[in-house]
Amino acid sequence: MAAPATQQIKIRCNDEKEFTVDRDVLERSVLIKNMLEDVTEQQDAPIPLPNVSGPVMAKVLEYCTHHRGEPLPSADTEQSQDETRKRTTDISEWDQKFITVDQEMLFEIILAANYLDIKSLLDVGCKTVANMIKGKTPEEIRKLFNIVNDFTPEEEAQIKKENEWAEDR
Amino acid sequence: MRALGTQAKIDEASPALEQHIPHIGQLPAEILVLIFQCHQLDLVDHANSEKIVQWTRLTFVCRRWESIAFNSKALWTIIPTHHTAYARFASQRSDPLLVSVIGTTWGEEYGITEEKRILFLSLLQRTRKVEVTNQPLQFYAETLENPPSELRFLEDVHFNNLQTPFQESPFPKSLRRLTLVSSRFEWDWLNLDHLTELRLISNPISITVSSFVGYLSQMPRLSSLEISYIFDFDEEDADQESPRHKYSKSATLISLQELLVKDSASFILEFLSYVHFKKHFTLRIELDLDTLDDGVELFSTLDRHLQASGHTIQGIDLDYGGGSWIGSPTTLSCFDQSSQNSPFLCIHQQSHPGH
Repeated sequence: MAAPATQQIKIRCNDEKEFTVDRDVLERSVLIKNMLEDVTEQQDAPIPLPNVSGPVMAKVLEYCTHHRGEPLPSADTEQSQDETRKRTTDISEWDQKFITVDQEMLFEIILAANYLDIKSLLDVGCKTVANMIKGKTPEEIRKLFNIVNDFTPEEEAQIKKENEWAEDR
Repeated sequence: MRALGTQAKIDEASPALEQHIPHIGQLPAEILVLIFQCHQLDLVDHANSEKIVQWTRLTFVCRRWESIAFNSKALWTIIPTHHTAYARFASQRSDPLLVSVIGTTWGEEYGITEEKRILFLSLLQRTRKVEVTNQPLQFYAETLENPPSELRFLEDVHFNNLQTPFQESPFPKSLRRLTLVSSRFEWDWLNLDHLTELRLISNPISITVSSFVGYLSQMPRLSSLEISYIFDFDEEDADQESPRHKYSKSATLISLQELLVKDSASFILEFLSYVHFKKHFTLRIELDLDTLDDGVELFSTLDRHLQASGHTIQGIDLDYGGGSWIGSPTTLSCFDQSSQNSPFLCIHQQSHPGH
């Protein structure tokens, strides 16, 4: 039997920060949903989340609360392929505002969404990074993300030569 | 060609990078693949030279990005044929069995060269799904002399704006899913024993509704059907068609589990009056209502029809796309009955949200 929607679950982050959250909000995370389904008895001890810090979890919970009640993405393989096709760079207005954070928080949200298995949040994060990259040259991308160009000049020249096909039809 | 290595090569490039990249360098390869996929899918739908150049530029950023882009099969499972050089490049990196080949326009010139024919055929021979729109349909037809034997893996076909370039059926017998949008086709082509999903959208079909249902009944495995605005013809003209289009007044769709109908209330009523459903099925209707009376009549008649065929409504899922429902609670309450072995009615209002 499904648990009542009002059931409260406690979680503990890696900085000891604790949250008490409605079960249906937390179940946006497939990881936590599976953990809760595996627990047969009522447990008062908080669920430990060693890979997520308090500030990041607060953002994740803001997202989950806003999207509570929405259907979770299908695990069906065929449907997933269609969903993959839909993964362009469009982001809803609310999600766009939500994800307007500094780079460090953005990547931490992405990592948390990946760890907690929240596919829709992972998608929002990935689309945001993809949009940041859009229209930029390799040098601009390096500068944006503080990436070191580890190609030698010879290698770089060779790569450019090998990709000349992109200019052809 | 450089940079064709293994996953180990990706991992090998990572540790050194992480020292210099405190943030994006911490993302595992599979997340970078998802980010790259956004760009790759963007060019799948709207391929042009600029987007392809943008996509290839990602591989110039650093060794790790280059390695991930070239070694991740997930980035090369869907191949757009818009750009010949890109299709050739992508086909070298993809798995032997592709997920999808997509064609909209084949470059700016539509000339069919031998090189393009061979490339397209080699892609089709190892793909499970093909989506083709407009110009390449002619190309598709000319590429394949004997489609059923050439397309042995093909399970899923999506044709948009097909204007009968084919002399014979372009579909292999093994086909499981078929979508035809704004297309003309011969009914004989749909004599497909393995077809489980059929989507017919905005196709001008010149047969009567009863004959249409009769054809559907000849697809024994059809479990999912979508019909959207397909009947655009004069009923009297349709009656003049050849006898093979004539079927009895009703048919049982023995495997149908899901039905989505988008049309006027009058069409939905006529269509449903010819069909006998299995006990368990999901009926989803997106109404194109002209008046409130149409909706009320649809509900009442549908309720009577389903009850007469031994069904009762298990539940109603109302989704009006943000609009408010135009029917009265009294109208809806007659559907609010619970029963085992009954259909599930999911009604979506498509138009007139302001009522």
